[in-house]
Amino acid sequence: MRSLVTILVPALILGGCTSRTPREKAIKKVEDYDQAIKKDANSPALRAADSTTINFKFDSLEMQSIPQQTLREIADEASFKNLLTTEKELLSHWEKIPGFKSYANLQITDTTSPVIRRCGAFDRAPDDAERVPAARGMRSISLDFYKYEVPVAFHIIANRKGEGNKGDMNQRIADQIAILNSHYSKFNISFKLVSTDVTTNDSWFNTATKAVSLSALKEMTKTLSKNPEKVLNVYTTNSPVLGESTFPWESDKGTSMDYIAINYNTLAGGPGTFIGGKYTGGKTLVHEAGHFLGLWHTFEGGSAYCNSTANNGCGIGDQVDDTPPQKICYFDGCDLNADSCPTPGNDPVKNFMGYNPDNCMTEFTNGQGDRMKLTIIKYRYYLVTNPI
Amino acid sequence: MKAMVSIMLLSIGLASLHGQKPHGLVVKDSGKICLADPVNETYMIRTRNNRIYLPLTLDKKFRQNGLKVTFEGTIDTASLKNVRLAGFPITIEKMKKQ
Repeated sequence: MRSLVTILVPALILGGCTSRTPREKAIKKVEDYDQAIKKDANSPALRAADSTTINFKFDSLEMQSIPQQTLREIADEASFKNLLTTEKELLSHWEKIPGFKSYANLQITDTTSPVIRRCGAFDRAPDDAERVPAARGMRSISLDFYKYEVPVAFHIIANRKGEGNKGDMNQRIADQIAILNSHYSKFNISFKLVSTDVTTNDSWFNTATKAVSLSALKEMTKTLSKNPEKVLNVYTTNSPVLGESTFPWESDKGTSMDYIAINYNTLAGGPGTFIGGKYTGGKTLVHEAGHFLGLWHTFEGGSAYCNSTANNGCGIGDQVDDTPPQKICYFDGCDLNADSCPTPGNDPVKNFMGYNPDNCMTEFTNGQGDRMKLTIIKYRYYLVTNPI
Repeated sequence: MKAMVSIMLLSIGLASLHGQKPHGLVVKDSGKICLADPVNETYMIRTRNNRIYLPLTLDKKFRQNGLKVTFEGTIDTASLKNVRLAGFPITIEKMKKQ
């Protein structure tokens, strides 16, 4: 008996010393992953490698899964914050691709600049755009950790007849915010109304859009914009385009020209008389908010004139891997069998980032969610409500 | 001098063949004028192959629902990257009743 105790007690003590709690295991995984990323990020050989090698290497570094519950428990740990910092720093290394001029005729050698990329796809963009990674095969811990809130200032523009401000605009705006939240909440992104104002100005009402008068647009936004470095300013006008937005990588970011403008008829609860009632569901602002947070059109590909033969959407598209390639845009209907590209998958006509009518638009993909989150971390970090 | 003029004319000819201007895409088409917004009296043009154009300016004499027209105009493609459209905004340069 004594000999049994002699064996068991040290065994229990030793066992207790070596087996880790779930929390300790999670911290170890986080530390290992952080070290692995840092090692490769600082490797001169990998920095000089071609993009395929870089992508392959970083794809293989995916962190072992940690239960959500445990992840929340270690959120205040220094090692966890270190990893978030590392990921944020890596994200800031995504840069323009030197020498890349268009979607067509891309040369792989153009992408051998010393940047670190962890995505499976080539994240290619026009030379006037910053890059963020596509989503295939990549799960960084940041994607599940942060929460985002977009403060929104609404500016209603009306003409002297009162058009643009008839009916219960405050209710329509409240409904519009609810619609935004219903479609973005699954990505931990929420929208919050912070102010509403009304301005009567015939010129701004009819012409303040890039397509008609850039000077009227600049005058309007300069006069009315509120804290654009922290707040999304939304203008409702009588624009001939349904909506327009600023991409987060544009030089206007944080200035009065960092904005969204929509035709007032497209605000939630719009009239059935406007373009056959196709845009009454409040989806235009959902679409433009997608641009504001870094999404391209699903038919993106070098030419905004989406029926043009110059379009190359089948090749590269919107740089999100779970939206099937789409070559043309649709202004009517909701044809789920539409398939404009030979590559697998029908055209994502139900996606918010297409042009189909409101009653057809119902979804964002997870890849688009990841792209928006990474874009926020890189370009609009002020929207993060739990920053490190 | 003559050769230079020939080269210039050839260049212009090639450019128009591709339908490209420095600031946009040239469109020549025909279609039907449709009332898009009765409140603000804005119109669109729907073509036979179901393309939709939104004239940024439209002479009063063409503002008739159902009117068939031929037209020529330019789309400023550079301004259409981050927008949502119900049709292509077009600056009309020529228009005739059919």
